[in-house]
Amino acid sequence: MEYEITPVGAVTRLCLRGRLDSANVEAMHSQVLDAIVPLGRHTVVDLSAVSFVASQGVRMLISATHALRQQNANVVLYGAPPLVAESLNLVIKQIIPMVATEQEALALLTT
Amino acid sequence: MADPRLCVSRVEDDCLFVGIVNDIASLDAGQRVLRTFLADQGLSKRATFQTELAFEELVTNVIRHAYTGRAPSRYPIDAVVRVEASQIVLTVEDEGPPFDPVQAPELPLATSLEEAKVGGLGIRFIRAAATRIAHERVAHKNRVTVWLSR
Repeated sequence: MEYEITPVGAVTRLCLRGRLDSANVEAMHSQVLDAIVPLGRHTVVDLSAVSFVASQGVRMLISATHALRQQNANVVLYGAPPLVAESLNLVIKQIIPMVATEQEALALLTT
Repeated sequence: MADPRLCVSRVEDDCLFVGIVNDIASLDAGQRVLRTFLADQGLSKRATFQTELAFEELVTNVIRHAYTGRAPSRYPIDAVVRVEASQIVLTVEDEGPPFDPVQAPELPLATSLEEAKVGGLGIRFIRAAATRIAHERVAHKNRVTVWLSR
C-alpha cells in the first residue's frame, strides 16, 4: 500500500493505493495517521487506486476519522472501485460518508 | 516465489493447498499464492475478490483470536481452496480453542462514528461473501469451510 498527502485548499487529500489488507495496514497504519491527524483538517480520501479492502483497512479508516473528528475535522471517502465500495458500504455507510468524486467529497465538507 | 519459511503450497488439479503460520507476513505470503492461483482459474472479479476477502478474514481471525497469546510464527494455519464448476470452496484449519464462526454473534452495525467499534467486522465480511459457512471440530482443530459463488 502506498499513500500520498496533498493539500486541496484548506482540505487534506489522502490518496491511498493498493491493498488495504492486514499486512499493508499493519505496516502503514501509524504512518498514515501520524501524517494526517496532526494537520487537523477536513480530509478527503481518494480510494480510486485501492484494489482490495479488508476489515483491517476499514479499521484504519475508522481510526483516522475518529482522530480527526476529535479535532472537529471530518472525513469523506471517494472514488472507490465497485467491489471496494460494496465492501465498505457493508460496514461504514452510516459512519463515514462515501461519494463518487472528489468534487462531491469537497462539497460535502464545505456545506 | 513465496518464502518457504512463511508459506508452503502446492496445486493439484483445481485445488490449492496452502500452509502458513500465525504471522501477518505469512498471511501476506499466503495471499500472494492465492492470488496467483485464482488468476489461473478464469473466475469473475467478484469471485476473486470475495475469495481473497474470505481467506484474509478467516486467517486474520485465527492469528488474532484463535492463537492469541501464542508465540508468533509457530502455529499452523492450513487452507485449501477448491474451484468447482459453479462455486469455490475455501477451508481453513487451525489448532486454536473451539470457535464456531457460524454461531458467533454479529455485532450490530454502528449507526454513528461515536458508536463505531474497530472490531467484529471480519465475520460480517465473511458472511456477506459466502453462500454457506460450516464449522467442524476435527481432531482438536477448528475446520471452517466457506462456499462462495463463482
